[in-house]
Amino acid sequence: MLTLEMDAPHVSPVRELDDFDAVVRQYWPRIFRFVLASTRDRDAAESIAQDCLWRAYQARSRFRGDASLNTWLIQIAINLIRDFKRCRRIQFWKRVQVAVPDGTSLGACVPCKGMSPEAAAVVREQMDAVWRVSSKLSDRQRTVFLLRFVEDMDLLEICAATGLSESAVKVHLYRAVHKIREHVGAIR
Amino acid sequence: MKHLTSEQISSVVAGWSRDENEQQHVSACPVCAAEIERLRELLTQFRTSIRDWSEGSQTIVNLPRPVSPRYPDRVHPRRVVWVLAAAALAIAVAVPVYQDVREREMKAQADADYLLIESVQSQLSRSAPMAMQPLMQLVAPTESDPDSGAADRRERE
Repeated sequence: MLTLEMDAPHVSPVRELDDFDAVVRQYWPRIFRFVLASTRDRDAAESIAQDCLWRAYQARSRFRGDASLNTWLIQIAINLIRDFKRCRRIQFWKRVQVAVPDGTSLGACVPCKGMSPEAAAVVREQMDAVWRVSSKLSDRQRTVFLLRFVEDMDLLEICAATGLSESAVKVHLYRAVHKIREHVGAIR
Repeated sequence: MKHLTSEQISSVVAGWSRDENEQQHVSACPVCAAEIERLRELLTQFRTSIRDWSEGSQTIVNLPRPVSPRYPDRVHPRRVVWVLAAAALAIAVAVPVYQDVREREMKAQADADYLLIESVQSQLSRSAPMAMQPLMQLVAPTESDPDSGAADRRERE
């Protein structure tokens, strides 16, 4: 196991930034996905993801490599999402443009291959419920929830990306999961 | 048997549980195990759905290089201060220059008006055109001429 890890080519996060084209190719899908799930607006997600990489490119000389590149980029994205939501609160007329997948619901995106129609319907309903509940979470709860369960980030990475303490991250996640259990528990 | 609390279940589902008692309880209690399994399945489905949606929504797959962002349209406060200072400076310079030009124009206009009035008054004050002035001086009676009154009387008779 140790041999395998030593054999694996380890590129430091700082050196990783030298080839920024590769960084864009590798991290664009993750950033876009996280921003899309946070904002639910495809156009905004594209703009914010692009802005995130642009800022990272501009600030690449200041990146010390304390955290992983993914964590650093997510940290920039979180700040941009916060700014975006602050602007959107002022631009109230844009709220109507909030996009749901295909104009229907997240349930339409659930892969239901091999499921019976009844089981597929239940899963879709549950996804819609999770989607609705996640929209009602506070910004921090939603961010922590998405970072853990969509982006698969561990506790320390989430702490670094959000600037929260470990206990605060845990509390936000517990509350988010609790709300989802409450609302989705009825659908079985 | 006392079941796991909501926080403990969240901790186990998130994979952050370090408590051995919680792990033992999950392996011993079918109710809590089923609940955790159900939550894990649900969140896995959620992750898959989000990832599928994201992949279906992406229009930019290969960005050659990040380009200037379209968002956000925020204006930096320092930039606003510079713009305002430049505008104030422009106004401070433009207003005196404009006033000076305007005063000069008004003075030139007043001079032109004065000359015109002088010329009109001099024209009105003459009883004959300027070319006829020497003749008028010859014909017109003068106070020093003693025969002028006699000549007038002869004309009336």
